Amino acid sequence: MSQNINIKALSNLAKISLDETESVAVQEKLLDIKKIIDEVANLELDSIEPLYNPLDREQVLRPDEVTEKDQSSELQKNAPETIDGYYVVPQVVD
Amino acid sequence: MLHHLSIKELIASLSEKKLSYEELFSYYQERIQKFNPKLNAFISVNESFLDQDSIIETKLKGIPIAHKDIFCMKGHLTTCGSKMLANFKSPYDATIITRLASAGALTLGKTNMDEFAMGSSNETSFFGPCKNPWDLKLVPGGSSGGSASAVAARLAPIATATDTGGSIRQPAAFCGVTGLKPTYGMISRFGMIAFASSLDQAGFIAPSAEDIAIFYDLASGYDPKDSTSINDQVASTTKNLDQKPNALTIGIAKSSLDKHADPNILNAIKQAVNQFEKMGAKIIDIDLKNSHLNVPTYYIIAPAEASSNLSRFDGVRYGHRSEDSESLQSLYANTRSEGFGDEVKRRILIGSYVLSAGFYDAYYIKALRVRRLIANDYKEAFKKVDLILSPTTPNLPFAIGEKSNDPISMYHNDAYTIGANLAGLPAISFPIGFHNGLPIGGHFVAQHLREDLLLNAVNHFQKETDFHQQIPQEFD
Repeated sequence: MSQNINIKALSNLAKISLDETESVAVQEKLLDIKKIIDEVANLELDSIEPLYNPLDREQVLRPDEVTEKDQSSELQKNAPETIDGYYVVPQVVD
Repeated sequence: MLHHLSIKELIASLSEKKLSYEELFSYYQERIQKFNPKLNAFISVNESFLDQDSIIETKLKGIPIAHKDIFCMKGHLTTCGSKMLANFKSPYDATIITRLASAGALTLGKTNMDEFAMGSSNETSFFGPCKNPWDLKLVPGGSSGGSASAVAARLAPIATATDTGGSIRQPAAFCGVTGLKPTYGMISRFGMIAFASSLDQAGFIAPSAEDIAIFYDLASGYDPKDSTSINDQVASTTKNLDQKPNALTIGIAKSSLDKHADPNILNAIKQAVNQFEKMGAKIIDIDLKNSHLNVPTYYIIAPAEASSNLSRFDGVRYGHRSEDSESLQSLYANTRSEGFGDEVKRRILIGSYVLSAGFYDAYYIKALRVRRLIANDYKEAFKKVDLILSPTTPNLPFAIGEKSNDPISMYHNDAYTIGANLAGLPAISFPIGFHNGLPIGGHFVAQHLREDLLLNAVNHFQKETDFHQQIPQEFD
């Protein structure tokens, strides 16, 4: 596996901003963790099926029925900023 | 000395009206007020509860409980140990909270934890580290450190907890109490803030297996609100608790992990083995040949799932929002940078790395293939044995600050416990001895849905031993 981690691209993917000092510190720790997980990455295992659910079962979905009443105003009490039931974010379109 | 009574004894006292639930609640509230400043085991404390005549008609009759602050509780702070949710008041209850409240449990407060359950020492909590009541300079373990510390100091007779890689069992071992991680899917995850959804499981920490069995039977079972919830008929753990077990066969894995374990812990395991043999168990060696891959596999799957789950914290709908953002992109990045602590950021970044284009198959899918190998090793072992015994942790509780800058060493603390999460198996940690005044935990894993066997075996061990009844002197 590649020995490097492009920390700038990764922080952009993860939507976590890091300044220069943080980037250096994080890079060092991530490379240590990469050494551990590379033990798995270096194995040849193509004949083994991946195990997603530890009980190897399908997820059962419940019928798509409304079971709760509208609680939008209750739910929006935790929002940093709302107007007329909408969440407010910085302007996206000019 | 109400804090010496077991839950069974407390229920009996409440039923016989020797004790009222108001008295019992106040008793624990006073203990929390007196001792919590030393321990920092609680993030928030419930000052009052709704008086209800009907409580006395319920099964639990007003037994107090502490809940890990990962469970949503309507109208209460639910912080998950993070600045991100420091002011979040949940608009709904987790299923485990609903079920226990309707069975008559009264909430004492919400317990401290590693941020988003990521940690093995409780040091990553935004609300400061929780302390180990056996020695206040030491960590209580994590992530459910607050629940374990509160129960060990008897600030609550029982507490809820969660376990993704050992977060119930490792703190239970470090604090000298009993901790059950049930089979994946046996207790609903609805309203439990997600870390790694294919590994997360709710459970309990209490002094004894008997205490846990009473609560486990009430909290477990199918919940349509959790799509991974199990809908199988299983044996009642309380009903079978006292039944003498048929000659148990206990497997001991000859594990490479033991090379790194404290000899005092391995010695305590030998003594526990002697005790089980005296009780009629047969001990055989087994081979979990891929167990050396537990840690690397976990540190791919858990961060991958965490990076996906924690993408919901974006500063838009709830939680912390950065005030220093001009665009939507910088709102996301600054909010997450300010709201998450270092360990959470590290795991999100690792998760993003192993899921990114070009690496997904090499890391994530491969880890899922190893996961099947690890699960198959357990399947093979359970053809020969009923339970698998090991230490819970390779070392005794360590000092606050000792490993906080060394995530790798911290990760290896979960080496014995991670296998049960990867394979979805039920497991329990229980006190098996002390060294220099610090508790040691033994660890059993059973087949899927055999919580009854785990609790039964530990209950019989606890009838013959008194390690689980020890209370740190300062808190007795």
